[in-house]
Amino acid sequence: MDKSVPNRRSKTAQTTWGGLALAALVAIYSFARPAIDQQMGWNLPAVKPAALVGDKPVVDTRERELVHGLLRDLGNERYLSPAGLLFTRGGAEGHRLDHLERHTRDDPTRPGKHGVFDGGMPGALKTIDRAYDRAKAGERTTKEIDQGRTIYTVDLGGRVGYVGGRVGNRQSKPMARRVRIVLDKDRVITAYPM
Amino acid sequence: MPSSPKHSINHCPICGDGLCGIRICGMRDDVPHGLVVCDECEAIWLQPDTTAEHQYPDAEEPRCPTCQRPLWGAESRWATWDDCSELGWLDAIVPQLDIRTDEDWV
Repeated sequence: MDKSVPNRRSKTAQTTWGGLALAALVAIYSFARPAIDQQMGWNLPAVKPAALVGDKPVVDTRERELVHGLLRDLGNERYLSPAGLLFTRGGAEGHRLDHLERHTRDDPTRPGKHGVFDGGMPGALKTIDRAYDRAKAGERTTKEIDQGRTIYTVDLGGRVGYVGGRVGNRQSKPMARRVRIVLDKDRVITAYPM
Repeated sequence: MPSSPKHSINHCPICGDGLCGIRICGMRDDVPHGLVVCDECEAIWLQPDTTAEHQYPDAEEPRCPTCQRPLWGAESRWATWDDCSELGWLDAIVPQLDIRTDEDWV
């Protein structure tokens, strides 16, 4: 019994130091993240503090319910991104998300170019949201308006995917750093890297 | 890819990477009519000429501007060679933009 006391104290001390080290790393990461994102053109995830009820952390279950880890389900097959983009029914595939999914993989037989996002659907959606945030701020963006459709071309300053299709494959799939987004108001019609 | 056009007349002059594919609509009513639709931005031309006026369908309930049936419904499809022949639009097809499978290249 007596022997266990020093061990427990030692473990408690280790735990305390480990916790402090972890807290320091989290603090450094949180402080440096915006600068890294800006410098590298990345979109690193934010560290969110857990809410507490009494002394127990409360897990935010809404995050688990997000579609592709990002989109809020508004019902009636409408999904809202954090930047304010709506993905709704429509298009040849039946839903804009299904069309977007085509741009998460190459289509080597497609004539011309076919932009492919890195990171599957979660990566594509994060990149599109980042591009839309930049577009709204007017950063590295060209904007055309045509009969109610808005076409943004946004330079994200770093790789967001590659150019596939017949042309892209002939050129060994060059890197894409720009994103083209076609919108009807805030509804996404299509988006692809280029 | 069932949602890609079989025969196209151009790359989309509006969005760039889209294919302006030929669709045939109104098949069940026996009054078939042709459309050119961009498979990315959904711009529509009523004749096989992308320098002509274009229009856009409703974003959530896209309909054919000619017959008001659902643009992507059972009434219409990406036109086959025979469909294009029936429409009299064969001359507008740019063969380099045809969707081909690997077998077609052999």
